[in-house]
Amino acid sequence: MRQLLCFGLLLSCFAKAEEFSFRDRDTVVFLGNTFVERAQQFGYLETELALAAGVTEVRFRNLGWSGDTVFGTARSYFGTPKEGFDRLKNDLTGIKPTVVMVCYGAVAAFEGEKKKDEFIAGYGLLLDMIQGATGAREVILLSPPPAETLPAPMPEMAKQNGRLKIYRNAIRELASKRGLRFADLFGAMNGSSEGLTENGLHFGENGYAVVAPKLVEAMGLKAVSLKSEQRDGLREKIMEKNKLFFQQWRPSNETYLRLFRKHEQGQNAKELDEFDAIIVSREAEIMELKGRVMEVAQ
Amino acid sequence: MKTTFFFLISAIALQAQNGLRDIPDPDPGKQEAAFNLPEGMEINLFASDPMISKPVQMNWDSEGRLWLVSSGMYPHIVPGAEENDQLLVLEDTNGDGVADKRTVFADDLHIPTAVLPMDGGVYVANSTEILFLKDTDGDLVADERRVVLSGFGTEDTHHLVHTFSQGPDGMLYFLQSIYIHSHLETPHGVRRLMGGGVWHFRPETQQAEVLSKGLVNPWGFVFDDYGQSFATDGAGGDGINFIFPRAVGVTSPGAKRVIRGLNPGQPKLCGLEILSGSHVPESLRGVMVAPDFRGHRINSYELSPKGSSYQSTQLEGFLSSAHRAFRPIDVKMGPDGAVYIADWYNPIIQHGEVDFRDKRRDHQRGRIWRVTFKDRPLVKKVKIVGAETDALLELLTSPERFQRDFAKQELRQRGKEVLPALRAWTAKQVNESALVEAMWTFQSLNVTPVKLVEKLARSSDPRFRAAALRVVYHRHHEIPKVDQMIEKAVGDENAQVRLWAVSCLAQRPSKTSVPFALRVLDQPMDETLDFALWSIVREHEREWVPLFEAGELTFKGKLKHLLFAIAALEKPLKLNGVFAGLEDGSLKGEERAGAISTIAKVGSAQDLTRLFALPGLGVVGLDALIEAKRVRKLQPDGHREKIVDFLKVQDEGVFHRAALLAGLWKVKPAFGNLKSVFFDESQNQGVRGKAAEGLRYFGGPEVIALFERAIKESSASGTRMLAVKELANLDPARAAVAAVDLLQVDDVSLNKADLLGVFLRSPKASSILAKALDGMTLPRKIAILGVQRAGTTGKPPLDLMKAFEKAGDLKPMAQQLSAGEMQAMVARVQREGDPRKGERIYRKAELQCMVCHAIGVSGGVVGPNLVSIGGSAPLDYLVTSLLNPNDKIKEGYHTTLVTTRDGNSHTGGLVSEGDQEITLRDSAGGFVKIAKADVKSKIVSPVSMMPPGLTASLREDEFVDLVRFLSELGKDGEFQVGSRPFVRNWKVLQPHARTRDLMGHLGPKIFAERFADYQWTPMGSMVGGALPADEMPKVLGRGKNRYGVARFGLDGDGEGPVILKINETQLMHLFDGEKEIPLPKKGAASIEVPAGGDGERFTVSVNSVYRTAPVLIERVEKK
Repeated sequence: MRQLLCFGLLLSCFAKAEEFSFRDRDTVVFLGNTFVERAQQFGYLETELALAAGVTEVRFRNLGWSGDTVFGTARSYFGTPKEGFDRLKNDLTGIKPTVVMVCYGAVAAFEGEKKKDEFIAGYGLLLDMIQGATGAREVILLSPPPAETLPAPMPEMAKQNGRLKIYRNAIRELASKRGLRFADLFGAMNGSSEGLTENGLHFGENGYAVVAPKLVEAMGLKAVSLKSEQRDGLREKIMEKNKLFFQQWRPSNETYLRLFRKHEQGQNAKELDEFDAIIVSREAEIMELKGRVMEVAQ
Repeated sequence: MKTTFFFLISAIALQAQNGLRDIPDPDPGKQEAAFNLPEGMEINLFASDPMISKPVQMNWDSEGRLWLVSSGMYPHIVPGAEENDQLLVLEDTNGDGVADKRTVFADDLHIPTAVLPMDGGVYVANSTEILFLKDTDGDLVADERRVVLSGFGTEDTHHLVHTFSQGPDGMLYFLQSIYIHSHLETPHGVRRLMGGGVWHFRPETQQAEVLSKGLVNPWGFVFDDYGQSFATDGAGGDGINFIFPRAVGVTSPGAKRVIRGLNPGQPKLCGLEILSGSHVPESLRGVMVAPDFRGHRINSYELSPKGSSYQSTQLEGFLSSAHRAFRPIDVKMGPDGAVYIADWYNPIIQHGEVDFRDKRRDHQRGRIWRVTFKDRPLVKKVKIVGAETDALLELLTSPERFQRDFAKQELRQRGKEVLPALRAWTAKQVNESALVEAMWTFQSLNVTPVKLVEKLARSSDPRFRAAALRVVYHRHHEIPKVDQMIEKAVGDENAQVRLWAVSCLAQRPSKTSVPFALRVLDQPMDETLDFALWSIVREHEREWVPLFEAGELTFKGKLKHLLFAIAALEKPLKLNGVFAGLEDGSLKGEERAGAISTIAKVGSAQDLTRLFALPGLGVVGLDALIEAKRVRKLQPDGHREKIVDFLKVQDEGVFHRAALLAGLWKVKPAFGNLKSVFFDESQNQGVRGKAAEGLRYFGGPEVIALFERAIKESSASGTRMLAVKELANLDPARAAVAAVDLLQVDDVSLNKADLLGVFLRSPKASSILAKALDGMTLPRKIAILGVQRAGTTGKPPLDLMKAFEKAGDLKPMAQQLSAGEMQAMVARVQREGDPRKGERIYRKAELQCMVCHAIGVSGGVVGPNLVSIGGSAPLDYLVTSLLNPNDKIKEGYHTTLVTTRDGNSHTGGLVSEGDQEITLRDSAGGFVKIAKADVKSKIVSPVSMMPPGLTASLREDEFVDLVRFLSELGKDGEFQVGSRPFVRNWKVLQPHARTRDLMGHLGPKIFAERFADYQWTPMGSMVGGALPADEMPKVLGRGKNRYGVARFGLDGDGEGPVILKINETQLMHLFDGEKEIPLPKKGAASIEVPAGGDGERFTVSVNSVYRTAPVLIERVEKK
């Protein structure tokens, strides 16, 4: 009954009673597939959330990976999905996030309803792992965003949207069962990405600019309105930091740095640690700039 | 005085010059002067640093501008550095053949590996993504950036998604390589590709699909004038590869079967282009050119249709350079008809093998060279952008491929508004070359010209029929009569058309897809067609198998079809039809053998019972039953005791297999037979060995006691060897002491490597042997063998290796040289190394180089082909590879370590991975099959299959010569495998008592006799093509006479007569079969022989005592 009510009336649909808010020194991990991965290039999602957090110091790590699933399929390199799953566990253990925002389902939805149970079972294992590895105080499940039908000869995506709805509902149910927050991005966008995607699925600069505030609201936070040049200054710094983190977290030449040819180039893996100090100083700059921007805004 | 190498290494003087700084002069003038060009060819510098740097790929646009991605960041970004790799546009505005204008289109890229101007912008491969960049305000600088596809792996930056080209169909084609794992989300669903492969992508629909899989590092891709596609492999050695849908090349993960390229034994090639157009001399038109980047050379190949695929022949080199930093990596025909070559320019090219931060890596330079032909007019530039549509249509029949391709691209750019004009133009064309261009233009516009496709599918030229089917492959949904078209093509008289028919069927799974495809079996088959058919049978399993099982698909009267399908599928199926053919005797020869092995592969226990009951089962059937037991753990469910009858047959081959089966099936009544054969010392060792192995499979205390008794009581070391080996399998602790005793015996007839193998199967067994060795001594060569064998297992047992070193008094080997020692070694190789002596050392049997490595077409396939190793590997790399092989392992040659549930481990290169078994190639080149059911784990091991310490028995000067020889391989000169067709693969006769006894009576003709007990072992020619007489095994004759005897066949399948050109006929006899061919007493000779025959058709013998000349035979087609 309560769920029905909040689905009907609100954009957000958090299963937990109290409102979500960021806490000082929160570390937020974004986890998911292409939607999450590409968000780091445009920075809107992180910028909007950072602004919504106000003066609170929050840092973000994007662990999105194109084509990924709740099983870790895309991060498995040479091994089975299990290895990708374990790699993710290792990444999470290292980052120690306090908040994890998870957005899966867009890939699975292509397989239709018949794969839904398998997806939810896998999602359950993923959540067990996240909670075990991080002890995060908040794990927030996001519904995947809607797809868009572009003019022919691009494919009709109405069917996919139907399937996405089914997966959205299943994720919401999972969140409710586990007492986790659920942010209904699909609902917040009224089940439509019209005019927002580049290929029917994925957003570019303009798409994320529209989607990001909707996601913030779907989480029950208040989007901060800013002049675009102020937002963009902050966003650019965030994008630069994201690039550095990507180069560190998902480096090229992994085969040689840490996998089965590390006897040839493993000596260079230590370079990856050099990113730590660079990222820390960039984050200090981001915080400082955010403070200034917020002051001006107020 | 012979001193071991590891002793001397520390004694090398350190003041020698540092060979690692031997970097060539980067002056472009010097580089230009270093080119070696054939008569009539000219070369000039089109662009050079600092105008450009580090070119990776280049492509032209329709205005004749050259787009180039370049990466100074390669191979790995420095922490905190800007992503600043560039996309450049070069223009030759005054037409003098030199670029005079450069624009930086983008400068924020991260190791961009491909570029293609198209669709009003440019596609760029940018590590994990494919981007589309666009200039919207006309300043030739990108101001729009869109991610088109993401999720490409970056596990290795020289395998990244790369090599863009636009197909004649208007699609974007691109490649990825062995270590890359890609996960793309498209609006049509997720597409994943593990390892190498070829993708195609249609921008209008955003559909991305995998065309073919595999190849190690494919980095050249091209379409010919008929729309067939080809690739070269930058880390594979098969020259040109024919790319057809669903082809699977080497190293594709999980591949059960792969298809090889057209030129095995070629150097690695990067880039590919087909020479065409009026500026190119006629003799070169249609020739494929591909850069041998390691050999500083451009190779050329001529293809001709052969069955469903091609025959590719290497021609004399296109051009080469003596400049060691010339690294041609891309080659493209230009708008002026000249050939453009992108030169990565680097003294070293190694990726993983040389430190990412190695100072010798060049990050600034790069050149584009332009090849023209003297006294031949260049092609005049034509207007394409802004040209009238009718003018563009006329260009579709231009003799210049550049103009045809870009007219088509421009028409695509203009969109559907050109369709009326295109239709009108097409209606006027009669020439099929024009019609095919028209078909592709429609396709480029994402339109299917159904009538035109149907028309070309009826062409009298099979190449056009195949081209039409390629359109059907992609657009079958839009062709109403598609089923009839494909059905007709399945029965086409041309094999390549049939191949495309099968490919089209593969796109359309249905109840009839497999039965239709199998009809190709009614006409001659070849490997390519067989592969495609095998592939569809497996892929469409869910379509045809239920029908077959339900009895709706009977293959009545088409047993051949059924057999193929079952064998390809390798899953249990109803086999009544097959049994009927076996039982009524209608299956004969190869078909019968195929039916038997098929049943053993897929049949149930009941089927195996029925199979075992067949009269005249023979060796084939017994082998099949052994495999069924080993791989599938299945055996006949009754009447197994009949195996005893086979043990009584007077045929060693039958006995060998029956003995194993008796043990594997634990047939009690056979135990006594096996036991008596094992103890009968008058029987030969082979038979007794199989009896012992059979006994071992029974297991238990009785068998252990039996082997212990044999060890204790027998005085024959052969008997003890068999018993120890089998006992060690059952209980290594009980066998270890006796094993050490045997290892101490200096008798070459005892196979000690096999014995060691048993103890190397598990850490427990190797530790037991290590303990037993404590305090004992071993002959030095046995101890070295022990270290080598132990060192190449997936997890080397260090305790055992130490024990061998101690027992053999081996000094610990210097596997790592200090920087100073390495400098000194490199300097010495350059100063003193003699490559000719080095080649003889390379060929020494005890070094075993040739067992594992090929140089060109001769040698083993366990390790990488060394044909061009000298062109790429720096000396320090070669030295380290020899001293510590684990330090340097080439991609595609990693060792797989499979641990089975019984705790044993198996090490080797992964050959294939099927549903039921994993096949490894061990370090001796043999195949090991392991049942999937037995596998506990399978990992890629960091241990090389190249044994450590191979060089321990060399003197330092020998080592220096060996390194020098390797360093010359593939460079211009004596140690480059040329294109002349010398006989390079031989089988040489091992000494046999018969020749000594009967030589006087029968003369050399005795060597040509097809005598079954002769032992022939493979041997390769030297790099120059000759087989040295003194390296052949010395076959005894009368008195002091010794003979070298070799057999060879005629490669290739020409039909006309062949000329054998012999260097020197002195003291030589030559036989065709058993018939002697008269030769002159001495001097060179040319002999004409008919084509055909097998690999042992000819026998050549030389007196190796009195003749010094090597044997050099060239096989020339008679014109």
